Amino acid sequence: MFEPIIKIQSEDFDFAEHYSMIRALGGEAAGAIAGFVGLVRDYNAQAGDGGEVATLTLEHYPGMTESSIEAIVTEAQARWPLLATTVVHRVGRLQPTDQIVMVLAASAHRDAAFAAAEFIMDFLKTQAIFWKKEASDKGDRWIESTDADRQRAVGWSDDGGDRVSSQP
Amino acid sequence: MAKIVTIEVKFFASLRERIALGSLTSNAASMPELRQDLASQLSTQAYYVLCGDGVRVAINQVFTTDDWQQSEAAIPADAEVAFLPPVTGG
Repeated sequence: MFEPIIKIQSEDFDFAEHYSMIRALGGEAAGAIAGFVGLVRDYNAQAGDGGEVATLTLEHYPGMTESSIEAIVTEAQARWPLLATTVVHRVGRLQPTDQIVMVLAASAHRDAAFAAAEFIMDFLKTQAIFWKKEASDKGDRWIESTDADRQRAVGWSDDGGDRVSSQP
Repeated sequence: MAKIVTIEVKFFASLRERIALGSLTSNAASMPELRQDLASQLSTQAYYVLCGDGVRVAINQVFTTDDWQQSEAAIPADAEVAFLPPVTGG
């Protein structure tokens, strides 16, 4: 079993650099690399107080956050024949449109790479130990997890690699 | 001489802000002892915040398997005990 790359950092990340790294790690057996990058949305539309969201601040629990991500990646490794994975997650203060998270998955074939990247993202949203706080001109507010995110995570069956329900 | 066991209790994110405290130390060697100690060290209001929905406790960075308010778990010497509000993911 390969050692997954897991990084929690406040500084921005360079997709190309990580892509080169996983391409090298995947080696000759890799026929597919799926990548996902999440950006900070302008939460304005859903901000409870109707204020304009200026920043998003992410807090984590050093050590335990990394373990929680490692558990998610280990689960993905058990479900799909992966050759390498990378998860980079930023913490601290971020602005709308900033890069916040990146997931890369390398496998021999695209189905496994796509599925694993999606699976890891879905569980990062619900199981990884992060807390988000949005600051708007009306004040600060801790964000609560959404039902939609929880539904996506429970949508993955326990006994196989397939998503058993899909979100609109 | 009896060994004095000290554990560090940490509070994260919204919990830390709502009780205006990042950490405290305790001599508790079990969850029941910790509940008793927190009830005496914290205000009733702050203790109530920790009893909120979905609050979980980790001992040495591993979640307790049961509800912290019912847990009988032992707490090892020099442990780090953390109170975590529901996570909001990446």
